[in-house]
Amino acid sequence: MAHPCHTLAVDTQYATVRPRGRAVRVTISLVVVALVTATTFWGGDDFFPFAPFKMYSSSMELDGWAGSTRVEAVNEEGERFKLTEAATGFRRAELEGQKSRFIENPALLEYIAQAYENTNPDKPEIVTVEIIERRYRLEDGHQTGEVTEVVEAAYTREGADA
Amino acid sequence: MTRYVNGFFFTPVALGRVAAMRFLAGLFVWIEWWAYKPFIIQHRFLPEDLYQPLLIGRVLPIPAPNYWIVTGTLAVCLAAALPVMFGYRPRLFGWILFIAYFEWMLIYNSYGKVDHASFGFMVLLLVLCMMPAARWGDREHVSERVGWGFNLVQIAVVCTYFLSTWSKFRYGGFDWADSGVFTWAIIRRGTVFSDWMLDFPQLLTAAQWGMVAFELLTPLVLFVYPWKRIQYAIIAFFYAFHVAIFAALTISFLPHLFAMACFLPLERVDPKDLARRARAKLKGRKGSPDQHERGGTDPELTATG
Repeated sequence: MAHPCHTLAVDTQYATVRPRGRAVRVTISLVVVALVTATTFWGGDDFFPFAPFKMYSSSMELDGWAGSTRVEAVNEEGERFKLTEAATGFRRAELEGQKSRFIENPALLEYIAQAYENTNPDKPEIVTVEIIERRYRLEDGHQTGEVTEVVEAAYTREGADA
Repeated sequence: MTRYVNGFFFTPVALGRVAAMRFLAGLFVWIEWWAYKPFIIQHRFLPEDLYQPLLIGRVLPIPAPNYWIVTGTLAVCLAAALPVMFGYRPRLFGWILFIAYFEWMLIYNSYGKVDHASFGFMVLLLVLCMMPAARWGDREHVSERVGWGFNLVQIAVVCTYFLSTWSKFRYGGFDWADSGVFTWAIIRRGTVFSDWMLDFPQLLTAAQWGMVAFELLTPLVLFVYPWKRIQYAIIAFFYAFHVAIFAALTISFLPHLFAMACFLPLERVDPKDLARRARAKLKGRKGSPDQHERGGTDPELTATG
């Protein structure tokens, strides 16, 4: 904050920046650009706020499967329903970001059940949580209409018979 | 050349824009928590084990969010945003807002997904902390320091576009634009405005190429700074682009849109003057009194008389 030019009175008609202040400021601008450029090419999300701007940056095969992930739950009363963002506070993108963790260790899905119960303390508790991916077949960019669903990770609370 | 470079970083900006941007920044903080619901604020219910701290969250002693940390951070953001909006001790409350908002962003981004719409907005909050107190419609006082601050925000806004194409090349490969990424995006979150496009994959491929071209060309908006009309036209195009993206995919980029407003000559907006003129119009007196009152705030007139 100790910019050399701050000694200048604020209430002048035209506030200039002296040469040293200019050098400092241009350096700051260049450092910001350098940092955010560097993490675009070498860094990762971890360096937030200097993180790569990678929304929708992945490629999708024109011939292949386009996936759409969702989470479903079964509660104590045997009702199956979709666990939406509103129901848990955990976004689909966040789930996808941590998906490898859940696939590796499905017991972690317990935490999603907890998030649901914290958000909805009055509703029946959840016994089963599943990550399901719906895959749409694409050929040459067109949907063929062929759809499959894959349960990628499933967790059922111990003692529950679901 | 030196003059062009100097002008690039230090084109003076009237302080009226500072007041307007403070208002918009605070307004956005008030809009965001509500507009993004259930997300962000709902993170207060997430168990600690879903928290994936970012580097900065591990280096600094920042605790894992819980119910009270999330709620408290929001409360501080909202409380600090009000004085910033209305120019009361704007630097002091600006710093409080910046720090609280940064924590809010850590709560936002520490659960497995980092979004990139807020970069420009965070830079905006930071530079606003360092700018002097200002009042709406002030075109009399101009400052190179303020000009530099807004230039940095503008650079951040442009980086958000320009570097995102390089991210696409990095993560999606150079054939990103030939892939089915828009098809996938529309399957995931299409609307009535975009679902029909699924039947025209060539159109989507063209749109992907258009996107890459558009993003790579965005730095132009900085370099045309001596020609304000061209610059404003490009900014208008940017806003139109985001309207289209929102219609197609309901992705809003709201904080980015607020930060981008600092390209615009908002110092020309003076709510008090507008209210005065509206009142005068209502009373049917459009003539001399209105002119006379306006003379007090119009720099061109004060300069000569």
